[in-house]
Amino acid sequence: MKRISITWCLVLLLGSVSCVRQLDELVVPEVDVTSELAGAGRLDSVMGESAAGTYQATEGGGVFGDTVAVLWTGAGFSIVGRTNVLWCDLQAGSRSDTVVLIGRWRFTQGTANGIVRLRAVPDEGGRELAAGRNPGKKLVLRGTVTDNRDRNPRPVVLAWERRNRNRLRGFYVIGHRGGARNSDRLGVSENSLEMLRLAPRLGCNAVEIDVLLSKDGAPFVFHDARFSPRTVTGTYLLGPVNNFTAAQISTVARLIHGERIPTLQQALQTIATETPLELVWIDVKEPEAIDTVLRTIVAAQKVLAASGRAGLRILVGLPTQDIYDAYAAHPLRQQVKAICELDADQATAINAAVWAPRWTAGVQAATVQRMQGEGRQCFVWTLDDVDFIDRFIAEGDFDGILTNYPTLLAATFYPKSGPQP
Amino acid sequence: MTSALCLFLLLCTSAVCLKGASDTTQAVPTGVYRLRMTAAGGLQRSFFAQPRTQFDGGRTADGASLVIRALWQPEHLLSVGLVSGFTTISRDRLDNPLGDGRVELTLSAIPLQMAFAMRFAGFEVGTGVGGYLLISTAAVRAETTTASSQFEIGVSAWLGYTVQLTDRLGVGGEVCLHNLSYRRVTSVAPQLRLRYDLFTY
Repeated sequence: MKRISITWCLVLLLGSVSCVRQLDELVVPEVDVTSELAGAGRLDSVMGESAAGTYQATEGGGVFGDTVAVLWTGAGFSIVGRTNVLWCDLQAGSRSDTVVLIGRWRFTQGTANGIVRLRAVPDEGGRELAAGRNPGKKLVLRGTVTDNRDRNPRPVVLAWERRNRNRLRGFYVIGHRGGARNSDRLGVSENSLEMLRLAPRLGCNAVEIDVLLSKDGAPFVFHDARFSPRTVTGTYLLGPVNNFTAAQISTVARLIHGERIPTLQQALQTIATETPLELVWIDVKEPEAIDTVLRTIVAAQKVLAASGRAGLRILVGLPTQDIYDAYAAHPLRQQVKAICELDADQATAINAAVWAPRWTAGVQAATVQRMQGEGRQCFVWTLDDVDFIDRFIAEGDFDGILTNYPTLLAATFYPKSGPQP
Repeated sequence: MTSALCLFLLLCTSAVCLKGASDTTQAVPTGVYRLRMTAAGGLQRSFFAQPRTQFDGGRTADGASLVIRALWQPEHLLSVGLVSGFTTISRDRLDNPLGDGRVELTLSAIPLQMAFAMRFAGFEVGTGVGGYLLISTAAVRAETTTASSQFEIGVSAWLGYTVQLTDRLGVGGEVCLHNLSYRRVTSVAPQLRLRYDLFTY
């Protein structure tokens, strides 16, 4: 009996302290972009958009698969592919008649990563790109990929095939929680200003952010109702977010990668001034926040109009009936359009700009068509599984998809043949 | 859920063992079953896997610990019961580098655990399984201090020695360890212990 009891105590003790599964370490390679692009001129958006498109990987170096999409992010390029959900974050420059791209690649499904170096030489489209002309099918990107210690170089050849797909009414790749979640180990925290800056490089042209109120009523961009080691660092942060005042949150709280928790105003300002994002979906987490959120959006819209970013759409998400009711009763609802996450008739009742059903309801082609016929757009949330993303793109006609894996969604949507922009 | 299942299995095993043992016991003398209360208190040092705040890279903090255990002690070596108490894990008073005055922060914990202990030759080794009610208080500038609490899983363990002074009363010392695995904080507390048999039968 003594042995049994002691054994049980040891088993219980070990079981209690060893229930956290450690993930494989992600070793990010060092790449000195500044020196590798020394002397190179910056690409402008015309050059960048000319190089964007769907490419065939005639040699992929074990990384690129068969087909990838090259996206112009405003300051560089992203390359996304479906093989292990490839993501390359590249900076670019032109040196005489050659365009040079360098940065990191990573399989976002795991920890494999390394450095990729590509160039378009003069006779393979580099001359036209550097001159701001579209080289079309002449464009070939050649180079190497290496591992995370910049060793074992393998050749890569990417041949431009066509422009990336777009729908005639456009399409939104909407990054959840500002772009992606903490679990994706991108080195920046979900719902942070840094994540918002990263979102376009992940393939997003829109983001969803979450808003909670502090104890004294200030709107903060944060998802969980409670602080936990999943989202924040620091020993003293625990319990409900709205137990803490705005001053305490801004002073004490740091996100998991060290960033401050942004206010809604800071987030909107960052999106407007530092990103090319086209749409913000503000998911309100509590009905008490509606008034403050609407007032903040109206103030932001005035700034946007004055600063030439009036095209940036800021919409308020209505995920629950009580939040829907608070919005419907608010006098500012005419000035701030909504994304109704409830049923389609309720979207019609408040003249929501967007109807956004949960993915579990299916493709709902007839209802989507009816909503679009009423002048509404339709988004679906939150699609993360590759099979469902395939199905919703193939069978549905949604105007945007909310996802935690914008890289996967972009890699699926853009290379598909279909209407060209 | 897993912890609850383990506890259930442990209790079942213990019950079977006790039942089996009583079958082989000829006659249990009176006064061997007892409800034993232990109060232990002392200083405590806590170790943190991450810096406590972004202003201070400190990974250790000193505090105090008070632990109270109620253990049912049968005629066998294993006792089962409850653990509670109060520990101050850390306290920081910092100059706010943002220039907003002082930041005052405290973190305390109340253990709420099932306890299992073995005794031999005056020594007692035990473990508490369950969690802690964590209480954090924060004050920035001259604002009213706000408090926030949360229950998190954790375990405690102790090794102690008791000198019996009377039939019911004993004193001694112990080393107690608290582990808040979710928050990645481990505390070690050398403590004085006072043990009293509340009743026997």
